[in-house]
Amino acid sequence: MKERWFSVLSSRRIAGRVMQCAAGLVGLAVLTLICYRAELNLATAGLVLMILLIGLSLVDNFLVSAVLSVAAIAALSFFFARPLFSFWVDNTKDLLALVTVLVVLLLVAGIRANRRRVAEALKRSEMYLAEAQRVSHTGSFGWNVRRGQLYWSEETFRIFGLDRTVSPTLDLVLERAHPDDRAPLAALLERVTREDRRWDLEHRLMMPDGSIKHIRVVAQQIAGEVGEHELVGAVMDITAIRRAEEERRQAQADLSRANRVMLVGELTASIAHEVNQPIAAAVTNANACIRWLGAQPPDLAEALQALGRIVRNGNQAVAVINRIRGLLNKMPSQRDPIDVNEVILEVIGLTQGDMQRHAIRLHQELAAGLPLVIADKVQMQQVILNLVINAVEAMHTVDDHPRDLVLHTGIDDGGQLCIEVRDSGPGLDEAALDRIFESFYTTKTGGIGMGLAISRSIAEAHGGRLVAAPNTPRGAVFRFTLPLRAAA
Amino acid sequence: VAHEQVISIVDDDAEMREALTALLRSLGFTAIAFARAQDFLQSTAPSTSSCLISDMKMPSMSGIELHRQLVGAGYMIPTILITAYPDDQTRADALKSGVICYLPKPFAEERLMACIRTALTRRIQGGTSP
Repeated sequence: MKERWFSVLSSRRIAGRVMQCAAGLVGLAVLTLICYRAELNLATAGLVLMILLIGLSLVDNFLVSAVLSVAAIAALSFFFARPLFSFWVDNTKDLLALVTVLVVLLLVAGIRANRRRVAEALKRSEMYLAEAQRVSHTGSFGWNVRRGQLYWSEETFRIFGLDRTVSPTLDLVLERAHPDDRAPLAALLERVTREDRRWDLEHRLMMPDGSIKHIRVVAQQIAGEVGEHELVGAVMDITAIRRAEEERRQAQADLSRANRVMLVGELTASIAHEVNQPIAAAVTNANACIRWLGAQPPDLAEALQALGRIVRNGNQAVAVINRIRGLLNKMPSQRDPIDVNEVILEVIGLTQGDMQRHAIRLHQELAAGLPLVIADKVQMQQVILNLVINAVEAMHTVDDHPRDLVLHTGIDDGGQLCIEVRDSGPGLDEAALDRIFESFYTTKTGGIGMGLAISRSIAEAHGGRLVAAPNTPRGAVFRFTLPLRAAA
Repeated sequence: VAHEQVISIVDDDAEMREALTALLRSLGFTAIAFARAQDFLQSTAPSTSSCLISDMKMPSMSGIELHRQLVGAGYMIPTILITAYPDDQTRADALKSGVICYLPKPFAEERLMACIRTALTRRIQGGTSP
């Protein structure tokens, strides 16, 4: 334990103190000599030395200041208080002056030392706070609403990607916000200034390099001076959390797609087996029949029996296929008066997350007062959902222009209800336009090519049509028309 | 062409059973058909058959399981497996267990005939049944 006391650090510190002491004593001696030569009286000399020591106490610690103070008193009593050249002091007034100087010096040194300790503690706590903010990606801010002043911590500046020299303003915050989040955020900030409650919101930032950050902001009004309206809060960079969530969602989507593909695979295998069985029997019977006919003499009775079995086998295969078709057509179709716009809004609700994630700008052009159509609501939803998902996926690769999705409803020139889904994706070439509605035709990796084929058969089952065409200026448009003659 | 050879058929599909029996008869064999593997095992057929043609996938006992039971009981009947669900893994397992042929349905008569010929040669080389 003793060795530790004399560790390099503490011995260096002790040496520093001794040096401070020595320097102070030298300064004291020089000043005492000057005062003595100038033949100053006790009061003046005391004042001069006191000024020196108060100055030194700014940099020295308490112990050094105390030693120097005692030395100064000694020097004053030796050179300036009668009897001279003795530490003895005759005059009570002189003694009182010396004691006063000592008390003042010690008091000043004590206050100084305490100040320094508080300052150090404050600095450390600030350092811890800044470090904790950096580690947790959480910045803090204060907002004096009345004066319109914002105060940001270092981490808040870092999250917003701004230099500390910039003075933060609400305009800067809005400028940094993602273009799609700007208007709702501005509206919210307007409310924040009026309502007294706890705020908790999430929005995105668009950084100058085009990257997106997700942030969560929590804030609450604090009790300040009367007439002041001040909010204090935290800004959390939750980009990493959002990204992890996104990856998990993606993994789930991949899994469900894999399941679907597997289901189709199993279905195909069982259909193949069901159809294979009677065909295998027919082939075997046919082989037997050939044998009976080729025998010498030909056995016509056996051959006829074999042919009879072949007919039976053929009919069995047809029955199997009809049974499968019956299963697939079993989707119950219900007809109710439905509002197409309502169906579209539901589909938007289902796909909103997907659209936001892929930075797709949705434009709704839904005609007001459309008549109701008699249709199967679930099937309508399937068709529109399929068209919207296709449009969103088609725009995944678009980077050089905005990803615009237009959902349009209205009555077309032929007096039919018309739903259009327009995208700004790469569009479809002539060859693809002809084939996209065929079963098992797909341009997507992982697609099974049934979506549009099923969508078109649903449209036709409702007496409507589903067609694709090039969109202007770019992309594709899918037009789904429904007759109104059965309108409710 | 008189073979005087008995070939047993085990298949749960009645149509296939009937068709195969007729084909084997037209080829000059005596064919006996069973709907279940257990029925075949409980009959005298295991000791009288020169060859077994069995479906692979059946409700209570699969073709390969039947073959293994026969081998376990000491019957050296050359076996041909037929299946509507061909897959490479089962094929490898079957051939490793000593099955002569693994035929996907529907099969060509020539292929079946070639398998039967191999089976019968194997039987002669393999000696007598117990």
